[in-house]
Amino acid sequence: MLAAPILEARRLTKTFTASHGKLTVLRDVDFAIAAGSTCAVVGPSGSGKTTLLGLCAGLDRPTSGEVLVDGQPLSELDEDELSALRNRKVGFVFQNFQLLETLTALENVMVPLELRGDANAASRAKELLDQVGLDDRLDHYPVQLSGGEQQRVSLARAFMNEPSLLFADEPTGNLDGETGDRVQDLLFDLNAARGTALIVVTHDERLARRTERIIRLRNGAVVADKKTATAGASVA
Amino acid sequence: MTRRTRWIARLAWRDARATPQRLLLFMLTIVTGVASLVAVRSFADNLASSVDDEAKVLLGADLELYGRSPFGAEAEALVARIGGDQARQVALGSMAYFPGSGASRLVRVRAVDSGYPFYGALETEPAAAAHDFRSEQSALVDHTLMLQFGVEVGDPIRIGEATFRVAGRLMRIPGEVPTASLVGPRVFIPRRFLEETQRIRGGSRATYSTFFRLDRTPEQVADLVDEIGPELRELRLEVESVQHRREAIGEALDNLYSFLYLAGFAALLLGGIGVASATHLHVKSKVRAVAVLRCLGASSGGPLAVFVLQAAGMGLVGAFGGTVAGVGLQALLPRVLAALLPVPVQFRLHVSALVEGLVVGVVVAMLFAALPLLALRRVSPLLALRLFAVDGPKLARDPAQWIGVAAVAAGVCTVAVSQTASWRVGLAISGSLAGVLLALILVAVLLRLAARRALPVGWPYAWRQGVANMHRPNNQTAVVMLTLGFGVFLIATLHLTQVALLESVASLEMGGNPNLVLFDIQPDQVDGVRKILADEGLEVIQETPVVPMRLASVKGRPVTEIDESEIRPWVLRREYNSTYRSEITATEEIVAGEWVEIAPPGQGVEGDPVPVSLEEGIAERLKIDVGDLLEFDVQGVAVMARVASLRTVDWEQVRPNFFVVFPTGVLEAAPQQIVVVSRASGPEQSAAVQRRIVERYTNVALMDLGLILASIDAVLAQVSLALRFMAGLSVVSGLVVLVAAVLSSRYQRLRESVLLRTLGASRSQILQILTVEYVALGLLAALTGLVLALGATWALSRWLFEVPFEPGVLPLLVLLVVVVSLTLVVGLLGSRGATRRPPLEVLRAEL
Repeated sequence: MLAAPILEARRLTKTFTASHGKLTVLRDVDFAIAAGSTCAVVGPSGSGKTTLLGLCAGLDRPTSGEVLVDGQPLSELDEDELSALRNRKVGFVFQNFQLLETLTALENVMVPLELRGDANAASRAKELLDQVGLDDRLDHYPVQLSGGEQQRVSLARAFMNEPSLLFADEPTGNLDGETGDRVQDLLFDLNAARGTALIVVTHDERLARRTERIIRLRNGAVVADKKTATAGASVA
Repeated sequence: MTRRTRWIARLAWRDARATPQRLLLFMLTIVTGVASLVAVRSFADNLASSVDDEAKVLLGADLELYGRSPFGAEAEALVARIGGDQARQVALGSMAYFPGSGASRLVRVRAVDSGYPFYGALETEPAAAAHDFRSEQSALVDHTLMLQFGVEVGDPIRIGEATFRVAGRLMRIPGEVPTASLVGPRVFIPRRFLEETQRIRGGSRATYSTFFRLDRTPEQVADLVDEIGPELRELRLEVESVQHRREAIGEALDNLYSFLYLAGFAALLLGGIGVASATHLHVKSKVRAVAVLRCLGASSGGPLAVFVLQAAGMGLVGAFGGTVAGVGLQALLPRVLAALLPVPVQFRLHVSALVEGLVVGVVVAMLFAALPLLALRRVSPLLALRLFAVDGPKLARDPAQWIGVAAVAAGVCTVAVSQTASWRVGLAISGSLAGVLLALILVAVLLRLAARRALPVGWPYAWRQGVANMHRPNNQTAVVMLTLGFGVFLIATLHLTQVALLESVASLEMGGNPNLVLFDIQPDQVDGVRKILADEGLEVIQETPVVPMRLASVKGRPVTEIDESEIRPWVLRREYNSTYRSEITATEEIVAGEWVEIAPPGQGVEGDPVPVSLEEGIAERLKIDVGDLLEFDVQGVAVMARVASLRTVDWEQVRPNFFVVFPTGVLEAAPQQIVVVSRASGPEQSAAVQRRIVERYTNVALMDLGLILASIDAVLAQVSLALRFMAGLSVVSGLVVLVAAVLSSRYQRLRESVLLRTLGASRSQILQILTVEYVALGLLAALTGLVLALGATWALSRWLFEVPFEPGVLPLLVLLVVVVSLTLVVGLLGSRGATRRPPLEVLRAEL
């Protein structure tokens, strides 16, 4: 029996109003992601990948259609309720790491739990930083860390709130091959260990193939939605 | 404390800890403003305390009665009835002649009894002279007068027919503003030697005072004043009590406080603008962090609360720094303003002023930080994914922004009103400053536009890049121009107004106008005076008899029965120095009725009312018109008069002008003095005439317009020193904001410089670009201030002072050069390293 979807996109459309007229960047996108599964969204630049990610994570509102996270329609939530939902169920890994420059590695990882007022934020953050191999960099500021180290901090932060759903936007786009591979390994290890559904937006076909499913976008529409060999292996 | 609050506090602290330098800028901008406010507030409190502490010293007695004539029997009876310790004083204008140097000058002679002052003491050098001069034929002479003529202690000084030995320098008289001595230098002599001067003769204008030391509280003295009020009016005596003097000083000081508050408040407002600017930059650098926090689940208000808390904290630290600096500044103020203060001001710490400084500093910092901070509410979490968010609400359409603007306006008005303790003054100050700031913004925008449009394409690259830098993203050109421009505006307006006033007075001396006035000439001395003038080659321009008289009744009602609320007491009780002549002068013009040249027979003493001409203003104050009757007391003789005409008088001309002019044929026999007006071609000629007149006629006083001009110049210099000190604070605020602006955009400038150097620019080219940028910035700021200052001074000259306005170019050029140089120095110092740091270092830091 298939697991219940953690994320559903129903006929998602997003249109921007520009000076020269209206621009539709996503058109009638439908898909569902099962809990604990992995999926890559791929496509050329301008195909609507980041827009789709933003809509699915509740960072933006669709022009029409609906997004449901764990069965909850996002359109019914106001901005602060969306923030609270993200804090409970969603994690992010960004291409540019997006660490808070003014916080140390440890403090950056603590943020999601601190937002909830969880008293165990520090011990849990240390545990996660230990898992990503940065237990000796706790008090370093982002500027004192290499790109790979920053992305590992970002990974630790993404799993800090034990999300059901993790969005990764080109997680290895700013890293060299070897470091990128290490970060990918960590991403999939943590996904497997914690049962988090993983949605990766990427240009990197090698990374995409490590997921169970690839959704291809072109000009704002889904042109392909296929399972990968990994999915077969995983099912097997 | 809730969990959320704890998180907000923790994040605020962590963020502040990592970028202290940016927040330091925030603090710096508020320091000068708070310092000015605390200094002014503490100074005002200290001055008020000093005035209270020295209330009795202000008058030197509990009560003073004075009049224009010696006390008669009834007045003496009243004095005896009041009792207490008493001391008399006769004050009069007289020429002081220094036989050693041959110099002479019109002074205010105060012949005092040994008891005066009962409270406080005359400050003299040597100190013992304040006491010793009373025991012999000695005088205390104003310090400034002694300096002017090189007179030393022990030298002789002649007043009228008597010669005194200078016993000491008079440094300060309790309750009197030192600057007053510049206009009318004082000479104290023992009253028992007054007779020997022979200056008290019929018609001499003197003030006779009796000072009392009473064993009563100020309230009891006030009751006494009320009680004897009607009797005093009857006797034509004026009264001065400690309460009166304190109120009068309070009123005078209110003007000073208003100005000081204005200057302090302006500095605070400039600091506020600096805060807004620093916060704007801070917020810009935090937008992505806020977007990430939103992605991680922070509510829209969470990050806002973090940065509001930071602003409050920084405001508090800045306000604290400002308060400490303000205490130091306060110690300076009494020195700068010493010449304008009636009492020495003691340095004391007023907790209320310090608390107020802290509160006002935090409130202003919060208010001005609020507007840029509100923008954080609109940060989309999408910004964590993209470089730009789209479809965000427009700034102008956000109601919160408008509420924020209204809150800033209301907050600024509240602070102004609370500081000045007056709705009217507070709102006027806020309104004026808002008007000036708006005008500055407008001029700044126009000048910037002009600079941009007029930039020739053929200019060297460094020049074009330097000017273009003023328009770079995140530039603080407008803020710096506003703050520096405001300082320049204040200083230039003060300077230009002072020059305009001085030139208008100086112009009176030009073009053959009279510049010497000889008065108190007895009729039998006129021929002699004419001869001396003729011998020295001077022409008698005008010769006018002066007959002192007082009003006895107005429209048939005795002046003693007219209520003070109806007609001002000074109008009723003053001495009317009137004249008689058949022709109208060039400085007068009849505006109502008819001029009567000669009194028809049968009019005058014991006859029909004499047709007189009244000056229009005094007629208005007396509430009388053509045809109304007045009764004058001409030294004991009642003269009825009918208003035949009303005249306008150009009082600015150096000629004897009169409120009341009689026709010829009535007053010729009355006791009178003659005023002679002449013109000396230079100081030497004037000095020669003065010497001969004073040697021959000791009673004749001579007013030299040249000396008066010098006095006015000295007084204005004292006042403007104080004004410039406060205006200087605005410039300091402007420079602090400039430093903040330079430092905050330092990284951007470094990056640009590195990029240019990577592309092959030499160090000197980069230095040129920076120089052009800062010179242009300073130039535009100074021009903005100067343009507005010229406009403001023109308006002040035309409508307030009614003097011609012809600004000198040189001082304005000097100001321009100073401001541009300061801007350049600050800018280059702040950008140091832009040409020295290796490009790779900066590029690495960026990665």
